[in-house]
Amino acid sequence: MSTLPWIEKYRPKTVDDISYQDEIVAVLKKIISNDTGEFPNFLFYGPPGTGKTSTILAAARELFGPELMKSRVLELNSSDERGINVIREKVKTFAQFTPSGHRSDGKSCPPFKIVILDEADSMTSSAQAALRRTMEKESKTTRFCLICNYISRIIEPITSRCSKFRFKPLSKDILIQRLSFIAEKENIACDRDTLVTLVNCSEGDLRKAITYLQCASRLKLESGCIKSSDVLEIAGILKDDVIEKILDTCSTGSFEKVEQCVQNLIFDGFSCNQIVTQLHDVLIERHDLNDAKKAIIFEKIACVDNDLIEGADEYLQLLDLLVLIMKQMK
Amino acid sequence: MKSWVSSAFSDSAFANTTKPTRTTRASSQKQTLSNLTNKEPKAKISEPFNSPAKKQKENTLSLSLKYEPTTRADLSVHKNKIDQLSNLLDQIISKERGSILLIEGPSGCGKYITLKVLCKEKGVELVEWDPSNVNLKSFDLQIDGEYNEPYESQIKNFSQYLFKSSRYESNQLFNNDKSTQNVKKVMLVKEIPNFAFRDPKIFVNLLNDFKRFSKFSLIFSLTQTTYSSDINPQKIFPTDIRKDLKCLEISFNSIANTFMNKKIEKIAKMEHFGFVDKKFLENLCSTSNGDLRHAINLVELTSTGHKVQFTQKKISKTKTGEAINFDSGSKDANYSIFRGLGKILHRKNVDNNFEEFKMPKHLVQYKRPVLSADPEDIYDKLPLSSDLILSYLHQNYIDIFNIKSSSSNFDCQFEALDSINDSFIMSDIINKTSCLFESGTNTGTQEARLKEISASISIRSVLFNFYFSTENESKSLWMPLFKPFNSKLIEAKLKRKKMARDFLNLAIENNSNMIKYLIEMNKEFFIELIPFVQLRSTMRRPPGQQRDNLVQMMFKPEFTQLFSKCTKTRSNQQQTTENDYENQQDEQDENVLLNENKPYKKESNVSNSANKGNYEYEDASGLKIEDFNF
Amino acid sequence: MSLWCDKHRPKTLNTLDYHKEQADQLKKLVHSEDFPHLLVYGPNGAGKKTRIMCSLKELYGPGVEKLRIERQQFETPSKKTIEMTTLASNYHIEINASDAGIYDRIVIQEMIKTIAQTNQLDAQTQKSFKVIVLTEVDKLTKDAQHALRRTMEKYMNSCRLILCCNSTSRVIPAVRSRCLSLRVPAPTADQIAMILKQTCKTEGLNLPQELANKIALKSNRNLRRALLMCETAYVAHYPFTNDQEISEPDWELFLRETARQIVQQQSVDRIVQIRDRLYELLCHCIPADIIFKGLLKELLTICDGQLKPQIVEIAADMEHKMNLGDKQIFYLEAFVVKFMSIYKKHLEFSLAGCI
Repeated sequence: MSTLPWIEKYRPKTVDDISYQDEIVAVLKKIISNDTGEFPNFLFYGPPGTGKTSTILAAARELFGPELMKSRVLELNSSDERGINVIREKVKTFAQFTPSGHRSDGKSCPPFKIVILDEADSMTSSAQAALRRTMEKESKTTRFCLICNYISRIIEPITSRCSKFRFKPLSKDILIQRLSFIAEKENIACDRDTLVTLVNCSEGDLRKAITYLQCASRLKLESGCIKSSDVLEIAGILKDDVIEKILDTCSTGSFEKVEQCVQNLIFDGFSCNQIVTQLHDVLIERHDLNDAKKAIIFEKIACVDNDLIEGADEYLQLLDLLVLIMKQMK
Repeated sequence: MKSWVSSAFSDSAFANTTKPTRTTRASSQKQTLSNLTNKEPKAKISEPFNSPAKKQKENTLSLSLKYEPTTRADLSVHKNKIDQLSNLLDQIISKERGSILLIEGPSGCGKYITLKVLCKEKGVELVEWDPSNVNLKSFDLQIDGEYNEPYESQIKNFSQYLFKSSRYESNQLFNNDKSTQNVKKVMLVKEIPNFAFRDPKIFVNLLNDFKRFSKFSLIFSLTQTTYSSDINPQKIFPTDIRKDLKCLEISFNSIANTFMNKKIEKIAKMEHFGFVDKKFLENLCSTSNGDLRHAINLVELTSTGHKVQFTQKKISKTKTGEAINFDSGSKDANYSIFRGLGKILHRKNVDNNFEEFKMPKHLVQYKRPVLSADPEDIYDKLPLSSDLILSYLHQNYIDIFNIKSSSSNFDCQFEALDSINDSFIMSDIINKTSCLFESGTNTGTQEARLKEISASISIRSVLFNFYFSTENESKSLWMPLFKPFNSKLIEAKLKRKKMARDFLNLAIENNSNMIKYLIEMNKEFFIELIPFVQLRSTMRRPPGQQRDNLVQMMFKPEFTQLFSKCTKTRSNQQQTTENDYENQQDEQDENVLLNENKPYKKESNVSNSANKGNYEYEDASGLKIEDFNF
Repeated sequence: MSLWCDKHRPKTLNTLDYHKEQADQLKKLVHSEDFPHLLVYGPNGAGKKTRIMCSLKELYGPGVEKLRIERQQFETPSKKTIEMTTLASNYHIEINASDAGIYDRIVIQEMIKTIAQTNQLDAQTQKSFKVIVLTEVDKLTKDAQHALRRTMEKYMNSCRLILCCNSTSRVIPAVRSRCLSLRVPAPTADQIAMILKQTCKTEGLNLPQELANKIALKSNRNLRRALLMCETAYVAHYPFTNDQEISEPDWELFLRETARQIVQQQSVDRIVQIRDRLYELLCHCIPADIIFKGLLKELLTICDGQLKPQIVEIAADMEHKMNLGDKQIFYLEAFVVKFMSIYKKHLEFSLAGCI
């Protein structure tokens, strides 16, 4: 009864549908058509929302057909238990089934299984070490596909056993294309401006963009047309004039005003990370600050960003940052 | 008995018994060592053994084993203690069912030896558990070098040991050998198996089973340490477990100096070390701290290899000469907490070496005299983990700094304080990070290493910054040390939260909408709700208005602490609302709240508090910080 | 028997007093075909929980208001049992998973699994899903949040999650992307004053505008606090007068006094006293970051303008380190010592400058 999230609904079902990642698409197509079982271990890496999981799932679907997919593909996510024991037990037992070389609809299918390890960079290095052995041992019947954001977090023995493919962040045109396609299908009215805002908010992440689109459409059911401001609100992004106002307050050089400004920002409930990121983007462009000052400010921004992630209080960190900006602007 | 003793005096017996003891030393200690040498001052008889060739053979046996006593008379333990243990042994041997006896005492005080001697006396066989006898096959070596922890096999090993004796018994029933039938067995565990620390429940269950099923008795020989470390045997046998298991207990004291002196003189005579210097004996006794085994080992150490030993004068010289270096061979005497902290907070310098060290010009202000105690050494000997050391230092440094800096006109007070606080913070963060390591085999050492570093930072920082000019250094000022308040803080918080929960439950029963706060029992509750509700209690009621049910509930004795105010403001509040209390109930509550407003004691001179025995400092939550003045 | 802030809480989306547009949106959402996972965030006392309850009522009807307390037990891999208190009705369950400390992941997984696997009994009129409300999501460990994300995907059909937190910075992007975020900003002072007047009217009391404004300003844009202050003022002195004293929580006064003492004298003795005062506050379960912020605020009002940036930097630094460490008193005391040392130097410097 409940609708599927659009990211699932519009996930590409075949390798051809995958937008923009030409290299890997070419390689996969060759493998699929070739049929000799020359399927290496894959390592897909790149920013989120670029189609890594979709690609391997689509490839698996093409290789095995939708019925066999469930029995031939094991998906292990970072939220699942992925300690060393699980790697050994689960993967071992899964790998021990010998797959047949034939499909139910007559076509031949490669005689191996696929294990997909999503978010492989959050596995502990000991789990990864255990994995490498398993990869070798079970290579006859099982192939692995690791998906991660940062390849540096995967240990070298594993990266050497896999073919690495980098997924590029999607270009704006592709994103707009895809989004307008979905909007049409779902009967959402949205103009070019909104789509551009959507794309800007999502930072090359198609999943994010589609999710924002879906959320916006939910909130605006009756009125129909989605505006840019809706998108911004959903993404939690501050309007540009708010940022400008902040910087103006800093340039006044009055501590009390800055304090009040920070207080108001916190009261409005905006995420501090978001504020800092947006400040950063605006400050880069400004001409009234020389490079030395900018360097100091950006160093502070980096520290504040780190501290926020480690759990520091938002008010204090934001106040600290703005006071520094104020000093530099004097 | 007599024949056994007399055989020791015959030369042939001695010559025969050296060899078996040498070989049996490596195997399990089930073999009882027969009496080796004479203790009677019939040194003349033993003279023939002092020819150099034979002396070489004897030298391969360690002195402590060589001079192991085999009769009651030879024991260096107090007679009463021996009798006590003897009685206990009789008790447990006579019982039908298995019983457990705990022998406690510091190391080297004669627990094992006394037991052996007594068992021999009574003709009881002492069966010891040997933990080194592990079945290697039970290791499951897997890929990547990881293997399962072998602790299961130790459990098996231990339970086999505990229960096989009963199986033996059944075997012996069929074995009609009378000599073995009548021999009673007593089982001894000298080292507590490691699994007992990991899984104390399993251990206790095993013991319970043992008690039920075994016909033999089990003796634990526990070495007391003041360590609060994980492997403290005291942890395994807390009082409630002792009661449950109905353990018999006996505790040994460390060996008195008189006994030690006697024994050492005897040994010296026997080994022809010559006349023992009195001062040497004194040093020896103080360093070994009642540990006879250690003392004998030291004697051996100081007397190795020199033919010179046979002469009188030179021996005493070498002995006194080496007496100064006792620190290198000294026992790892653990500092009591007080002593250890004292070493840190009251810095002692080695006076003479100050001038030698030259610092570059820009670092001159960081020059410090050489410490007499090594900071890492202090950490090793303090029986505290690094975070406890940090807590203790943090709790106490400020008072002592205060006194010392005021008496010595210390200029840069705040710099020093700043630096100390910075290092405390660093230590704390390192401690926290070390806890995040999984307690696995590889990372265990990382955790230990980090803790070492953290302790090192905090100790060194205090030592460095507590640098006051030596002229005004007060001599042996009595300064009490306080326990860190942190654990009390945690307790107090938990108590408060529990009270809050009870209060909420009560409120909800009385049909209040406060049910929501049960889930959000955090910030808002304590920051806003409680203070405001409490404020209402102090308000004057408009005439004719009944006191709020909610407020009425507040005055229940269970919740007074929950609603207690932060002390200092009470004086302000009271002025405005004192006149408003009408009922006696109010006055009662007033008194309860007033009592918490005691003046801050520490403002008085420290010297005053030094004279008090138990100095108590109350905080408003009604809890007392108990300190112990060492 | 209950406090005003609970008694007069709006129960339906229609009766909300401010952020009415958002209330409309929520209504539409509730009545739409698919109700998504929600992430409601905003400062304290802005009305997040109120809005969540109203939405639930809109979803399920008045049955949602019959709450009962349940205690559930969870067992961790290390054989420890954790007991959690939950608030449940027939249609939803509310839980604060961060109470479980480092075991929050298990609590979440188990909880959601059990809820998701029991189906709705009354399938005809009601929705096909249950709702789980998680409060204080930003205090969850990263592990728990990852687990949350996965379970959100898996059990989308049978249960919906409503997450409630102060700020989204500490919520991982993966969770954020699966929810519809709803920002609830704090009400303005005017809105608060209006609500106060309305409440008093319902209670049959007359609240003068000036006093209402005063309270609204002092409440720091926190509606709950404003209502509590108003109620206390009523108990203290009715009929209301315009210059009535508005009481503050005692710990705030205590904190103010502490700050004053810090500025008054900078010496080692004083540090000892301050330490005891800080322990006192901590004993009363006042969170350490609130103490930091409060102390900073008071110190900034008292001390000289030149020092302010430096002090802010130190406070931010110490507070950040406090999150990495274990014992909070160390950091509070270090901040006090640093402040004293800077302040003292500044005083000496300015005195020397004068001469």
